[in-house]
Amino acid sequence: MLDNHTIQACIKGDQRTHRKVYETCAPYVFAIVKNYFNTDDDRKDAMQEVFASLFTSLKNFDQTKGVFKSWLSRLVVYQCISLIKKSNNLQVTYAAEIEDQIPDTTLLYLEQFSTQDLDKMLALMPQGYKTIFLLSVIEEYSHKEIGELLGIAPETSRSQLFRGIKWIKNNIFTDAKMVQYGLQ
Amino acid sequence: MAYNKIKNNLRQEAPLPEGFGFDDLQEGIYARMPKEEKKKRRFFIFWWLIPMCVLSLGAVYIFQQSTAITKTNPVVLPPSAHMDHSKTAVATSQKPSDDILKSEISTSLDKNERSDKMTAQSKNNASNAANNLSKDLTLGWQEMNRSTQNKADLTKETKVKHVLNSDAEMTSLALPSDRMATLSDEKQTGSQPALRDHEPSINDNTHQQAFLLLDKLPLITMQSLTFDHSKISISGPETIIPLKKSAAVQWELAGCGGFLTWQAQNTFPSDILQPNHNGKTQLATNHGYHIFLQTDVLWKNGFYLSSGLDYQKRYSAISYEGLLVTNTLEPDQIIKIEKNLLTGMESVTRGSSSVKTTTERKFRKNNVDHIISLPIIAGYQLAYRNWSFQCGAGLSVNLFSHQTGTTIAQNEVAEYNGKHPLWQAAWDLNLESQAKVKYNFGQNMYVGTQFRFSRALQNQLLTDVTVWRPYQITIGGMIGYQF
Repeated sequence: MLDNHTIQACIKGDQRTHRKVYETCAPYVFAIVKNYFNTDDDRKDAMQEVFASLFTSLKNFDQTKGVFKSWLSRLVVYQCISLIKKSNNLQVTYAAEIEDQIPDTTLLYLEQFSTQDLDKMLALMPQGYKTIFLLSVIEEYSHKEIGELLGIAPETSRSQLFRGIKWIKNNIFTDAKMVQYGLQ
Repeated sequence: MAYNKIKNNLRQEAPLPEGFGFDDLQEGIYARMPKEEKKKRRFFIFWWLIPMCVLSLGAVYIFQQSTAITKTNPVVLPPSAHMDHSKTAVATSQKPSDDILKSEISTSLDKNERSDKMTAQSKNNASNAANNLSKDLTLGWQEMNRSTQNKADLTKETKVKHVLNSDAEMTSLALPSDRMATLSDEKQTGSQPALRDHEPSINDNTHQQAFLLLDKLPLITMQSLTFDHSKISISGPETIIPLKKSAAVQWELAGCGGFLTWQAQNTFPSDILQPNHNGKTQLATNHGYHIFLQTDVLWKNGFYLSSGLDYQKRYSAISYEGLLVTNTLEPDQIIKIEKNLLTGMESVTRGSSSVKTTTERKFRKNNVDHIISLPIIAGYQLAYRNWSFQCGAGLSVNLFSHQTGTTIAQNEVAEYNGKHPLWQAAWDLNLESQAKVKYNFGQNMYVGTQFRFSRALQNQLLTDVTVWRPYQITIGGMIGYQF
């Protein structure tokens, strides 16, 4: 994504390189950011936070430890979660009981959804469910990691994921949609 | 892994919507980035020193030049030069001006005493002045009898001075040689008809005006005005007060020591923002001391070259506060639960899964670095009585030796002993500027104070951090010996 020369120039604070880095990384960053935030204002805030953090902490990127894209992905997620926590949009209901089963079929059905339908689904989804759904299913964080990141217990994370998927099943998988995707 | 299709769909890159370009967001991005005002202020503080040194040097040089011109004009009259008071034209005719003349002379003598050198040019000036004096005074003498208007012409280029011999307490007028000859002849004959003939024709008012004009002229003190019964002549300056140090090259050896402060931006990443590591580091209390053995070679024209061996010991402290998240693999964890929709049976997949442990860390460690600096500085020295001021610039080579300390390397806290894990450069090249004030005492000794500013000529690239041209200031005292 970025060559070593560009990274070094960016570290030195060259503004032309900042533009170049932005233009290279922005579509990828936006693809992640748009899942966490629904409005353009929030997305712009997140983009600015992410790139400010990127330009500042690019010097910490260690090429020997991994590829730039996955490092950037984690940085974006970290910044998005920080913003969500700052804005107090994260309402997590603590699990009273541990759900004993996860409805895997819902996720299998979701694989049939187009990008547009997934975007619409995320736009409708409550922030708490959505965040844990994205962290668990898309970013593949463990519940322990999610718990540490959000400041909740791993059990709560597991429960929230279960409830989120249940919410998808109840609210998204309407008869029409199921027919459309040939699932019914 | 099972939901790659969802992931791919949600991560699908698309052109940015309107309003998400760099031009639209850059203001907000830079507003969220840490400010660099402090750096700019530091640049301002330290970079004005060089132009200030140059300006000061220029001002002192101009001052010295103007002083030299003043010093080259006077021609010194030795006390041995005697002239018969009674035989001088003005002395006899212009008693009221004696006080004025005396005061001028005392000023002149005072100036001469303070003169510490006179160049060969001054000799020529003096001779020329004496010649002009002869011509102009002859003119003036004749014109004085006619009209005061013509005396104004006298003042244009004449350089006239009345000299009082302090020993003889007499006032004399430096006269042209031909006029002196006349006077001498008159003395021999025991009469002064020519002179006395003139005297009545000069009224007091005219005289006073003439002397007022003369008073405004530059001061010329005759070095020697020799009277001979057979021949009266004006000779040039006989003596030139020599320079204090007449040697063309002078060597100095000095020992210096003092305080130093230094700064290196970006030595450590101030923030580590990574999912597995969130910490802040700060570098503080950058100070130390240095011991400098230096040798200077000074030329007669004021230029000097300085070099030596400077040992510096730098202290710094790193404070760290942050969270460390470590991933460990834990075996026998439920990693997947699958349910067969047809049979309703659940299958549990077990395996190793990553477990994160968060550790809070907070510490402050002191670092010590040793540096040997080899400067070579060229500059200019200005001297005034026992004081001298040196200002110069040059280069230095710094050799590093890191003793013990703590740093952040590879996004981790790293202790080191002897070899710095990041600072790979064993040496660097620095720009040096130096200012010294010295006071001479005794025959060859001097004490003083020295200020040095040095800055690395290029950024230093560490393994993952760029150090922004470290700079250093040293201030200390010194004691030296002049050979």
